[in-house]
Amino acid sequence: MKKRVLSLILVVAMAVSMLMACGKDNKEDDKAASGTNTQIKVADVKPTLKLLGSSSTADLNDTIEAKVIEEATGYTVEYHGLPAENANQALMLTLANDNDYDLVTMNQNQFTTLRANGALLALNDYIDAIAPELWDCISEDAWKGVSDEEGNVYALPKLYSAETEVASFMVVRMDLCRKAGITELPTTISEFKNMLVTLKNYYGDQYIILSGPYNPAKTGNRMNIPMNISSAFGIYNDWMVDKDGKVIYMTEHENFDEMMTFMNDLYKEGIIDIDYASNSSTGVDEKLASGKAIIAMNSRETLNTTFATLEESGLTENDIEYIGALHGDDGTCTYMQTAQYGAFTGIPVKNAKNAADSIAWIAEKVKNQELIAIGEEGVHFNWVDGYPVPIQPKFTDERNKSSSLTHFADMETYQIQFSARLQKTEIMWKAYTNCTIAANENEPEIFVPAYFAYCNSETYATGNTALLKSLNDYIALLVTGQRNLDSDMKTFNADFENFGGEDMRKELQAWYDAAFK
Amino acid sequence: MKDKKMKNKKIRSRSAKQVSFIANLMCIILLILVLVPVLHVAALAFSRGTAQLAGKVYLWPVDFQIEGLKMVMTQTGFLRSLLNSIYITVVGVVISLVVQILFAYPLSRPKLKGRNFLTAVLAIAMLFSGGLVPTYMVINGLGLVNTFWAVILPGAMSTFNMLLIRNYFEGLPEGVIESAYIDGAGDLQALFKVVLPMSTPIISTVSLLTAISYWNSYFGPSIYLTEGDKMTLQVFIRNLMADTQTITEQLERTEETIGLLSVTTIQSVVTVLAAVPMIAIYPLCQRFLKQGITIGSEKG
Amino acid sequence: MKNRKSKKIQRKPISKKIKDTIKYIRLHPTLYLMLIPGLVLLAIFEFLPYYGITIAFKDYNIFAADNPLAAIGASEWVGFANFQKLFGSSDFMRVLKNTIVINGLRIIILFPIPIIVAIFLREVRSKKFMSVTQTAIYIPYFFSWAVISGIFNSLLGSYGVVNTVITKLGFERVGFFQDPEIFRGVLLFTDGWKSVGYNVVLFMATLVAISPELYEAAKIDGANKWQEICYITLPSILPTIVMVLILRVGNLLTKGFEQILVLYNPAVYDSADIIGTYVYRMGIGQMDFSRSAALGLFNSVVSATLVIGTNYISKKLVKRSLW
Repeated sequence: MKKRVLSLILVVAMAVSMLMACGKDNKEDDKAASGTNTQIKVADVKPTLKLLGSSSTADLNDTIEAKVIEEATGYTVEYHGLPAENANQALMLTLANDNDYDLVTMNQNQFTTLRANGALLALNDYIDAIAPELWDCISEDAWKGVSDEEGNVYALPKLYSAETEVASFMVVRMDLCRKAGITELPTTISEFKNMLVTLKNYYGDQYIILSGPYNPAKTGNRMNIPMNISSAFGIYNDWMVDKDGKVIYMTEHENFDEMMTFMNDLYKEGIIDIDYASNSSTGVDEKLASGKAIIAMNSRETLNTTFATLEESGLTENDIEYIGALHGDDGTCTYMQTAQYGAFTGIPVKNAKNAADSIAWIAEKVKNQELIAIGEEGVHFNWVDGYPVPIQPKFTDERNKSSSLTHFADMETYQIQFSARLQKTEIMWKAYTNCTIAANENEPEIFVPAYFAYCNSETYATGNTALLKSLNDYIALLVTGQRNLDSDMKTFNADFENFGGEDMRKELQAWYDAAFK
Repeated sequence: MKDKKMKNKKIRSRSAKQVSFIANLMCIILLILVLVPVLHVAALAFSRGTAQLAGKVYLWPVDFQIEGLKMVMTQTGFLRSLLNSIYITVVGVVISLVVQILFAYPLSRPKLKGRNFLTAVLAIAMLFSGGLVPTYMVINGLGLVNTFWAVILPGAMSTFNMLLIRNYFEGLPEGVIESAYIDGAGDLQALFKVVLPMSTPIISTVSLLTAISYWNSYFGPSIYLTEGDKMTLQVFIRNLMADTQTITEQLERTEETIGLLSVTTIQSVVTVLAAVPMIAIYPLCQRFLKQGITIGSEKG
Repeated sequence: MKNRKSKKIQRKPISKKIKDTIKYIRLHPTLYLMLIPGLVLLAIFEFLPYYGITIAFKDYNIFAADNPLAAIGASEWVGFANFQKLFGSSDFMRVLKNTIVINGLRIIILFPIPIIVAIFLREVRSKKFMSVTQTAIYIPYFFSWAVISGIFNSLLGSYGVVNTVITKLGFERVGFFQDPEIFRGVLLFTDGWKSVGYNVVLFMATLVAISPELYEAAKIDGANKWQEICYITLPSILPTIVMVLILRVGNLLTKGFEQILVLYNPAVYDSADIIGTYVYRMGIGQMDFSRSAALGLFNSVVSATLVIGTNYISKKLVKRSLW
């Protein structure tokens, strides 16, 4: 209820600020658009649009998915990709000079920097004139993160495919567990530890009992401590909010020491993979797939290939189970919502001549969202229990790349549409059902709002990546005992200071106070 | 006297045996050290993804597949980026060679005046760089962004390779060059008729080094060629490496194809594809190296 | 004799020197025309961008003006603040030490290997065997570090092939990627593995060009094979050796960035973090052109000092120099 009132206020505030923004025509950012302000309309002949995106977009030209979009929208779009490395430099240099890209797709760092420097066009007038329905596609909060203080929106954000997904879980080899006398999955942290100890006592050094960490760039897990273990300690993110509404960092959480001691004990007992500090996510996958590990931290991304490998060594679906968010012994369980930005699509100030058509193209895509995302019913998918189930191989052959081609979506329908991708295999769907759907149905109270997902602070957006890396390194070394909570906390705190942690805290606090209090 | 000669011969043949034994042993050790991992990668490229994940692949493909090769080669960008890279490499090698040989020859002349100035120019160019932004602005100002010249020209005057050529020129018998001048040859004639024919070893070597550096270059192409149809093979490859998931997802079409490829097998395919052209030109270069011996000895 | 002559030339009056130069240029105009393409390329792509070095002393914002060029002028001077940001941290000395130790070891251990390999390759009787070896060892140069990291992880990882053998034999596992000292060995080995064959190429050209007459003459003089190598082969490739060595020393601070970035992990930061990787980690997610300009300038200055120094030493010791 409170939230609804809040969003209403926000809408009003935004409408007012938008009106005010229209009134001012001396705004620098609108330089390119000024003059067209009064009569924004699409061109008579649809122009070919040039889009500059991340490296994976480079190979989307001439795909079936791209052709479907072309037919549905009437626009021909050339997709160009930034290099996988040096993307930032290439993007900055390209946009700082005259260029002919009509649309540019960015990550959060890039977007925040470009917006702060006025390299992106304010889109409000265009959306109002061309496709006002786009305003309803995502939440007010999500719009707020791409706006400046006056409510000018600088990008159309693509949001993460699900708002409440337990994206971090552990894969368990039940066949091995059953041999050791374990038939039930743990739900609390103590049960979990008992399970690990039982396995260790039974198997000794024959297997890696618990392998990890798992945080490949693309998944929801960003931490070197699985969020489904930290949930039992009330820890859900690097930045959190305590009971009094104060922003705290993970290392300042009252249970941080306890959690790290718990992990370090497991390591000392030979339960956690001795490579914990040096493992890559691929390495963890390989250990699970090759049968070296009994339990592995994981996420859905590579599950299919891993399971196919295990299947070839004689396992069935029943031999694989998943551990979702664990509870503390006192019932504590906090898991952060997965609401977050995926990518941002904006229009460069230096080349805004096709801005109206660019917005029109996006709007057309949203109108045809189902067709583009999952295809035609009966051809590419069927509805089962309210979820789209793909018809293979047609679905993969003709719609696999459409998620890379989605730049902005109506999130309410997109979440459902996206789930088709999780139904491509039973094993993946089982993971989603057991961890995510179960949590949503049985204990939705575990989900903590993603307070800072839409925070638009430049300090935070550009500085936190390095700080997070530093925290993750610290955590990995705490697990393996190469760092010590008593003696090395000071060093980390110094790093925290160096990376601008305190400045971020101030901005996050201000954001929290404005948005949630 | 005769005894001494005999003794010398004995020592000689014994030392020759030692050297040849060590040389052969060295080759065998090197071959093992290098080929075992190389064959492993080649085997991975043609193994089923699940076999790789299960750790079953050593030096020979397990559950042979060429789907990975097919998938990478049919990615829309592959062929174009391959052709782009070949074009850049070929044109780059030709231009670099011309520029560097023309520069190295005067520098190798013993009596050249102004050497100190040239030395200073080379030293400064070699040691200091203006950095990314101003270089980009120069290239942008010349209108070269998103043209292949942006990656060909800046590297064409490699001081290192030029000095390699100059070193070689300086080692040539000065008498032969001198006599050409005495016979009335001009500088160009001396260079093209006398010096270059004796220089096949260094020219083939520098061609190879230049080809490798154009072929392997990543930074320039990644910054200056953002348009998709200008992409080079190295950029394409690193993009693919960073996003192998797209390919593994593409295989989730039926029960049978899942697990056909893994991240590592795709990376191996890409590695093999990128290395083959450069490995193929090496024997060619070696042939010229051998040729160099005979020509060098005839003239020398 | 020669020395005295050159001294005499030096004592010539300057006007005479200029006259000589003009005379030489008149005699060989083509020689100077030949220099033009190279000089033009250097002027455009090397010297013209030098004005951008100022970015290192500014708080450069690429969007500060209409284009990045004008933005250089529009950005604020900050003196040495960018350098302070880089080197002010307490970690910097550790990182600098790592850089020097690791790259120093590369020079001491890895630099001689391709020279030795090239010399002995020449002595292989079967030319076919020689070319096969030569081609084979050159292949790894085309493997990216990401792939090499994969290979050596599966070989040397805690559960990899090598450790399986070691544990089967009853020994303790070796933490190739966890033990700070051993990891440096892994760095050296993988670098050698990747680059020896490529570096052999550098020396081969000079080796094959050694006139066979020299060897014939040595044979007649009764030299054995070892003496041939020491007194003919080595001196013939000395200029190339010196040149490559000087440049290697010049790269002391910058070498190995990509390799270490891919291979290392938090467990070995203490021994393997070099300047490049450290600065990279500090700057992830930020787009700080000034910082990279400052680092580039610092590296250039150090490298220039090292190159000039080594060049001087080699001039004194072996009468050979880069220029």
